[in-house]
Amino acid sequence: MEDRADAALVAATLNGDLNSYGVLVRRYQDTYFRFAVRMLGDREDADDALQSAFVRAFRALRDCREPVRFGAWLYQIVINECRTLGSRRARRERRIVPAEDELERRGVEHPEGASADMQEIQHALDQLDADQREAFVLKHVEELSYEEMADLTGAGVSALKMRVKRACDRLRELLEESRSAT
Amino acid sequence: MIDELNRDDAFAERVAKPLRAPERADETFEARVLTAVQAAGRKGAHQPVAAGTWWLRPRTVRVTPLAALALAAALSAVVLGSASLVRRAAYRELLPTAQAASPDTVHVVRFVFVDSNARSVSIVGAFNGWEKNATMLYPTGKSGVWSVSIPLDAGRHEYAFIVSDAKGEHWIADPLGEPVHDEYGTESSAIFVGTQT
Repeated sequence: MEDRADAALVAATLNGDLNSYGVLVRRYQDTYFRFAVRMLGDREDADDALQSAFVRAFRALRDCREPVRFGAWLYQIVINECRTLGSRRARRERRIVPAEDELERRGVEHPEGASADMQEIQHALDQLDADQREAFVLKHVEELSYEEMADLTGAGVSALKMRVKRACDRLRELLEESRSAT
Repeated sequence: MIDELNRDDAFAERVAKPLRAPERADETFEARVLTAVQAAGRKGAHQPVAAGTWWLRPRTVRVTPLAALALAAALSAVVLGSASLVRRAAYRELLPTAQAASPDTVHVVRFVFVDSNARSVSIVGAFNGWEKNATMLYPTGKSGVWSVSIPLDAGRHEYAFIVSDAKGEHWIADPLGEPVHDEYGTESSAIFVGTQT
């Protein structure tokens, strides 16, 4: 069951086999969850964005013209969900997250010693413009090529290179500020 | 120029390396997605939605981000302080939609229910034919916190929670929701999804 290709699972889902969609969910949930967490800086927002993306993908599955590329098609939806949730969140007050919960979560999720670095870097990442953060995460965290990024985001390769460059410059500034303050 | 590029690459690698640490969706994620798509299926979800890049203009109404629980818990204590069932509360935060909803818009509404004594929690409403086991909430991993996300059409929806605990099964209206009563006096709650005109 788990070995079936995406296209076969998409076809089975369209024929009413919900278990096949479950296989697709399991196949992609962790990969795209990491992207969503890095983009949104919050696991619960990431969970919302990803769940919404899977529901939207299910509803539009007949519009997936290349089922062999279901993963890339879903990735586009995930990216757009993160953009939507991120921009909406930017318009409302920053939510209060109990600090101890956040620390506990980070501590559990990452190896000992990496936690402080992770928080500092994620905090800097959160402060980037959304398009720069997206470009940086796709390029350096998800390790996509610029061509793959262009395919997913609709932006040109030159524009994406510029966003990554600016993201790096801004991250360097933010991390230097942060370290000089401590 | 080459030196600068190499410097950028080295810096990016140093920053990105910890960010590549794996992240795992929680163990209930798949089940929650399938519950949501099953609910969508009952509403004819296999029908194609509007053609084009429809996901570029999504409108989502979300209920109760878990991160607001500390605030919500304080609020629930105020709301339920005079009652004996302080342990039980449902929370809601309605985010404004940016534009008027279209009939094809998917509204994913997240319901969260808190009850440290609950053994199972489900939600009922016209969206699932008021079937008590059709839409289960899942434990979130936080003590006593249950949640589910449901795709709903724009408009007004009435709902209630069915909670099972050691004392049996209980019909619970959302204490922070708009109360509504049927002809027998049973209280449920109402939520408006989408842009209210």
